[in-house]
Amino acid sequence: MSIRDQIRVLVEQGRLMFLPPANRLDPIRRSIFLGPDVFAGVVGPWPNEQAAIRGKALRAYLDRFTVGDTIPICLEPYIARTAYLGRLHPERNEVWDIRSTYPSPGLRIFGRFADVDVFVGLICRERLPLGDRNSPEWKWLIGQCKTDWRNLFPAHNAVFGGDIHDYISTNVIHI
Amino acid sequence: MTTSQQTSFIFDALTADRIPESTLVYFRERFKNKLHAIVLQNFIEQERANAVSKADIARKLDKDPSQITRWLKNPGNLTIGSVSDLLLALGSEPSIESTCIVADGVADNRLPDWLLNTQQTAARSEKMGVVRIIHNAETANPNANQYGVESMVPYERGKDETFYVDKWVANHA
Repeated sequence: MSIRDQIRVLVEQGRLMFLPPANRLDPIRRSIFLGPDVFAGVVGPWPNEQAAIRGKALRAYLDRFTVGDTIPICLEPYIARTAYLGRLHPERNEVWDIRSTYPSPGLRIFGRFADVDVFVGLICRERLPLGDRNSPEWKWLIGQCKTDWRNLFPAHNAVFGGDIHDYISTNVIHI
Repeated sequence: MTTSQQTSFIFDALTADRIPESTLVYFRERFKNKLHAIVLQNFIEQERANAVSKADIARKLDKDPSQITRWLKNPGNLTIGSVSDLLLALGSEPSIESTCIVADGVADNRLPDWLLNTQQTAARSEKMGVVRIIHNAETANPNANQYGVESMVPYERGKDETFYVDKWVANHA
């Protein structure tokens, strides 16, 4: 079974959700799949308008990925902390985060690439409480992300590459 | 197949007396992201043609190269002014147009084509047969008023909504 077949199974089971662009006229050129908790934070319903603002700002940010617009990404940890997508230290873990910086405090969605143009977001956290990139919280999150991945994809590794096009086929710049 | 079942917040906003702040934020952020993507795409094309580097842009705009990197990294660092400056340094200017928003309150259950297996795609095609277009009969423009008249166009595999809207416009021009 290919990893895309596995994603299909997980979507059917409700363990992963595909996030379509909010505007139905927008094309789908890349795919973001989210765990149920992360998905709920992005699409609502939200407990108050402040949470809705946070969720919809994040939705706008994630839609940019899905519609295929040009995005800046960084393969090297610590270099471009506010690039759209960055690979975290250590690279061999293949854990990435999507950095949504507005509104403050920013949010991070931790996940991995299942295939070219296919990102699986597993954990969402506010950036500030995580502290320094070497903090125990960061390490725990990266470990948790790997554990969640193994539970969903016991027979598949995340994409491991050395070039941005191993992850994003087109409309991407390495920052 | 399980997908999101909720109705579009864009539709909710268009039908409300007052647009919620959160939806205003969605569209502001969407706009900012589109501007940022346009700048990046321009930069990629020029850089690929060896026509420009970040250092060149910094020199032209009398900025520190780190400022150029900050602008390219994240849309949050951009302003209308800096977008104009960056595009000018790349030999361009933005081309602006507006588009009517189409929203009909139907839950968006779209999935990427690759996620639909052959049987599901065929079943969907047979089941749907047609795609519903809601439009303004007077202007013959389906983007003009999403609360107007309904028309149907034949379903075609693998096409997105823009395809059907364009087809409807062509049929009624």
